[in-house]
Amino acid sequence: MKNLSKMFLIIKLIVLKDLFEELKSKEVFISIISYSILVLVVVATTSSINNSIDFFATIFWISLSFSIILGINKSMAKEFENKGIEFLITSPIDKEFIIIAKFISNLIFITFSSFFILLFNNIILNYDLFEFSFFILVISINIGFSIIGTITYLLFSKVRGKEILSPMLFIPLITPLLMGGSVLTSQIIENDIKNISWFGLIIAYDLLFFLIGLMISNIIFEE
Amino acid sequence: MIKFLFTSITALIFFLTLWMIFWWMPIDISQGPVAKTVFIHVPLAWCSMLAIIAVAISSIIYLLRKNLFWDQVAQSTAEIGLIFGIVALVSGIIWAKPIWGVWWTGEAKLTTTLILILIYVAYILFRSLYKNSLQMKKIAAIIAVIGAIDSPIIYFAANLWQEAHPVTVIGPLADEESAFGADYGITLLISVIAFTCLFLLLTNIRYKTIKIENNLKEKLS
Repeated sequence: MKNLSKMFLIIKLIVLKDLFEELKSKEVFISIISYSILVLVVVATTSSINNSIDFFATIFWISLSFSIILGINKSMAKEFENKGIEFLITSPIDKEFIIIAKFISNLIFITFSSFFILLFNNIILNYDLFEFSFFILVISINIGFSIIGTITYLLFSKVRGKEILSPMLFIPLITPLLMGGSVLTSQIIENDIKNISWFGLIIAYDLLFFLIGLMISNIIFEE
Repeated sequence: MIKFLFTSITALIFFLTLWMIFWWMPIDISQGPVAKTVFIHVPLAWCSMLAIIAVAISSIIYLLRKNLFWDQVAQSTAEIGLIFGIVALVSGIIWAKPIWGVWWTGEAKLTTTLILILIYVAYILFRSLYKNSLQMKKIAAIIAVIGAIDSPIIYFAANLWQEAHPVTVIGPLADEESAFGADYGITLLISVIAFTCLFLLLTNIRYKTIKIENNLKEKLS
C-alpha cells in the first residue's frame, strides 16, 4: 500500500513537471494543433468530397495521427535536450514509473489538443460531432497513440535519423487503432454502432502496448 | 556434405515444383493462367510468416540468454523474411489486378502485411544506423518482438474482418468446404516445401555472412 502511494506520488510529480513546463512554453500544444490545422486545410482545399461521412472520419484521424507524431517527438525531445531524462534515470526511482508518467503526460497533451482538432474539423468540414461516445473513442485511441508514440520515440532516441525511424514504426503500429477509429467514427456519425468488437480491439491493443512498455522500460533507459 | 545434399534436394524440389505449376497443373477455368500465382504467393507468404515467428523466438531467446548466436539468427531471418514478404505482396498484387480489378484495396490482410514489411524495414534500418552495441541488439530484439505481435493479426484478419481477401484454406482456420482439389493441394504442398527449403538455405548463407562481417568488424576495431 505504501509502495502504491509512493508510485502515485512519483508519477504525479513527473506529470506535473511536464505539465508546468508545457504551460510555460506551450510548444507541444501549438505544434500539434497548428500542424493538424495545416493538414486539414490542405486536404479540405484540394478535395471536393467534403460532405462525405468517410471523408470526415479519414481526415480527422489523418490530421490527428500526423500531428501527434510531431507533438510526441517535441515533448520527448525537450526532455532529452534539457537532460531531464538523465536526471530521471539516475534518480532512485523505478524505470516503470518514468515510462508510465511519460505515457500520462503525452496522453494529456494529445487529448487536450485533439479536442481543438475536433473543433476545427467540425467547423471546416461542416459537421456537428460532439457526442459522448465519440469522446470516449478519441480518448481510448489517444491512450494507444501516447503509449506507442512514447515507446517508439524512446526506442529510437539514440539513433541518428530517429525523426524518420520513429514514425516508420509508429504509423504501422497505430494502424489497427486507425482502422477501428475510422470505422467507429463513421458509425457514430450515422448513429448506428454495429461493430462494437472494434472497441474491444482498441482497448486490448492499448493494454498490450502498456504492458510491453512496462516490460521494456529497463532496457530502454539503460545507459 | 550436408549443405551440398540440402542444396541439391532444394534444387530438385524446385524443378519439380516448376514442372508441376507450369506443365502438370491445368489452367483454372474461372481465373485463367493468373491463378497459378497462388503456388508462388502462398508459399512466399508462408515463409514470411515463418520468418516472423523465427525472428520473434530468436529475439526472445536473445533477450533472455544474451547469446550472440540468437541475435545473428534473428537478423538473418528478418532480412530473408523481408525479401520473401515483399515478393509475396507483389505476387498478390499481380493476382489481384485481373481478379479483383484493382492492384490494391484497403483490405485488412493486405494492409497488415504491408505494416509488417514496414516494421521489418524499420528493424533493419535501425540495426544499420545504431552503433553496434549490446543495447542496439536488445532494442532490435524488442522491435522484432513488437513486429511479431502483428503476425497473428495478419493470420486472423481475413477471418475477423471478412472482406475481399480469400479466406484461409490451409491451417487451423481453414474452411473445409473451400478446400482446394487434390491436384491443387499436392502442387501447393510441394511448392511450400520447395520455398521453405530455399528460405532455410538463404537464411543459412546470410547467417554465415553476418558472422563473418561481425568477426571482421571486431578484428578491425
